[in-house]
Amino acid sequence: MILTSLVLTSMGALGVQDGQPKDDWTVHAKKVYTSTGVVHENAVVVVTDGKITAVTPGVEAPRDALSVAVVTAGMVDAGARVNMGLESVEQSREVTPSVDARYGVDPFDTRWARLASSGVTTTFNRPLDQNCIGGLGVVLKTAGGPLLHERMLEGTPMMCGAIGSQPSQRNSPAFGRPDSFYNRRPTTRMGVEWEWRQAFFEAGQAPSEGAGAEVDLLQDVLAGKIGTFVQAWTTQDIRTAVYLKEEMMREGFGAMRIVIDCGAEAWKEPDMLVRTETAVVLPPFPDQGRTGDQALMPMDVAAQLRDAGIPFALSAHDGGDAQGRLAVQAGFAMRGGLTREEALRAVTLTPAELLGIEARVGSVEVGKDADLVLWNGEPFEITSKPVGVLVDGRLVVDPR
Amino acid sequence: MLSLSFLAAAALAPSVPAAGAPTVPADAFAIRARVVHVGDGTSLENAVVVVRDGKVASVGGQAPDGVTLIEVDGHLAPGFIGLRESVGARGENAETTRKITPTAELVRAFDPEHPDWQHLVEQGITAVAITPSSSRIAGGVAPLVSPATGEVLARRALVCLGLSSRSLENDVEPTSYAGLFAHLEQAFAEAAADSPLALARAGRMPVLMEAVSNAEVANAAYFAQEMGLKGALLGAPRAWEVVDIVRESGLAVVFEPMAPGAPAHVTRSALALEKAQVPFAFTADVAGRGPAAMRMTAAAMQRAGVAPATVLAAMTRNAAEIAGVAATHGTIAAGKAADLVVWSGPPTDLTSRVQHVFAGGQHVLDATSDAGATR
Repeated sequence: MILTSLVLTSMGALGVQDGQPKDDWTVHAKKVYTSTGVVHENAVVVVTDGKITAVTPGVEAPRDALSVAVVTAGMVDAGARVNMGLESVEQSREVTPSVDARYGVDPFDTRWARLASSGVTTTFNRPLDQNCIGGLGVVLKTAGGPLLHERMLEGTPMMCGAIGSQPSQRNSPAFGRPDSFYNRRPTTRMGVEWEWRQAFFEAGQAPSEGAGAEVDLLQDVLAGKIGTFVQAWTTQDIRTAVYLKEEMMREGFGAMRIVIDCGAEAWKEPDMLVRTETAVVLPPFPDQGRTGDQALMPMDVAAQLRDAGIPFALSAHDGGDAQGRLAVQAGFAMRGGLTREEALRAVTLTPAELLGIEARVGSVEVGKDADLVLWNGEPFEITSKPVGVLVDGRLVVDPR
Repeated sequence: MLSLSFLAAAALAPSVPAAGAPTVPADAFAIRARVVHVGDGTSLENAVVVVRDGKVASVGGQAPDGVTLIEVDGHLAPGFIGLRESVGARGENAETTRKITPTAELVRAFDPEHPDWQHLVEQGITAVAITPSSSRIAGGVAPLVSPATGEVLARRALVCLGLSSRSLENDVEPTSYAGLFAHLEQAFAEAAADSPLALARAGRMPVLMEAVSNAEVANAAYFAQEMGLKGALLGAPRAWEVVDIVRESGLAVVFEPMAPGAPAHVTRSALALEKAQVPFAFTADVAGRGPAAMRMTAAAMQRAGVAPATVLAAMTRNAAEIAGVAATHGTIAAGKAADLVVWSGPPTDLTSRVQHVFAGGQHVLDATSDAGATR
């Protein structure tokens, strides 16, 4: 496959040595939140060749260290949605499992640099939500080398799709002679459900070999080898996703691994999510009233999911404005009842686990990628902000 | 075919034809111009170009005895070559039901009698590639044609690929970049031997790959490298931001005309490519932007600091190389087609006017006489 070149964040003169960006650093912080529940005081984080090679608490700052108040892991936005809009989704059909989101992201998008400077170092990007089953998502760092594959993380492959009103938005019946491929099902939520069930029933009944690349992919989804990343804002849509999984299990087709994206109303019927081991990525908190698909998302949604024992991640979607940034979402979740460390986990380690990339990113631990956020105060406070950001050991935002 | 009158050379210029030659070939003549722009970056002062049988016979020598010598007080330059034009295709350059028709021959859409061709000739354009609509992904093979004589100069010159969002717009599969590359890879994989895509992959036919945004340019560059394609990117207005990617791909760039007052990206890109020694050329786009668009763009680039010789090469030699016709077109050299334009001043100067146009050795435009165009 072709890999788009990526030259995005202007590295500028940030620690460039001999033409190569520097990826060895010593970072000292009064507090290092590791995301694993451990907090180190007066700790040094040593970065060598882009990896974390030592975390040593209880020491003074070495003279040449980057010295800040707080260090956390780089944030992971599982719902970043930095895609190219309609050109990231194959509109000619509703079920396009072989579409690869790598072709739907623009490496020159200015949002990458903005995400990186706001402390988001890893993103999950999916085809736009206009298809029932849109295709495979891609995990990308927000800064890094000139080629896409240098910034890509191999995690659990994720088949992305949508349940709800979005997939049927453009479709319409033909009045008279059909004049577009949009003269098709679905035009309703019922039709959306029908498309999903038909695709998986056909894949489940197809022979395991030789039924084509798209059926092979859907069979891997049924077997749980590929995760299912389903946009479902409202209770009825979350039910549709969960019931689909249970129906496929009853049919003997396998156990899908479902992550509900945009699960604003996941708090309403948590039992079905617990029952089906379903995780949730929350959409950004709405300014007021309802959010996407007229879903109701209260301030304490994250705390409710925590209490129910449902794994959840926070998301800022494309982080288009200051209020929408992921750190601010974590602050909202704290206001809704999460502790700081719970909120931190929901923007670092939990999304990394949902995406199967926790061996690389999501916490400040030896051996992981040196994706670090350097804060001027306690994370997610309204007066705190990222003053320094490292991605793979390279300084994207310089705290000095 | 067109009926073209060939004006008596003596009527063109004040000089007295050399007399007394017993056997003067009817289609042999010589032009002496104040400056001859060869098109390869060099120019000759007060030089003679001899034309015989529709081709340049010699440059910089003497006019042989018995050959009519036309003296012009102007600049002689190769005819310009535009690498995208559809004015004579009458809208027949897009097979709208399908986006991948790589074996379609655009020459079948070429109407040599279309009246608008005259606008190109009047701007000194003597060859254009007729290309499929931008809305196609593999819309077919572009020919190189002469707007002046109606002659098909090269029937299968360029394999045209549309890798930009323009090819994703209408409701025909594919509508996504993922679908675009999946279909295109399949089309290349399934291409029959000696079909255009197979020839392109073997490096035996140049490609013209439309790509506008930098992401599209990068994708096109890597696709070309992966498939072993040679040729040019079409578009790339912000090439200055990805000049390394473009250079490493080995592709040239064909710029679309700048709109008046447009942001400086295209001129900036031309400067960056000139510095990186990446050749570039232009589209004609008379249908969309008017006949003077190519010269206006060239002038804007010079205002930004691109050397006049570079923009002249862009409109002549580089375009011929991109279209794979450098052996016969693009410069004034012995053995090449006598596609020659006499300008009142330097050909890249916006104040210069076209005085005469010769296409394949035929005198197709005399803008100095009241009769005007001879076509």
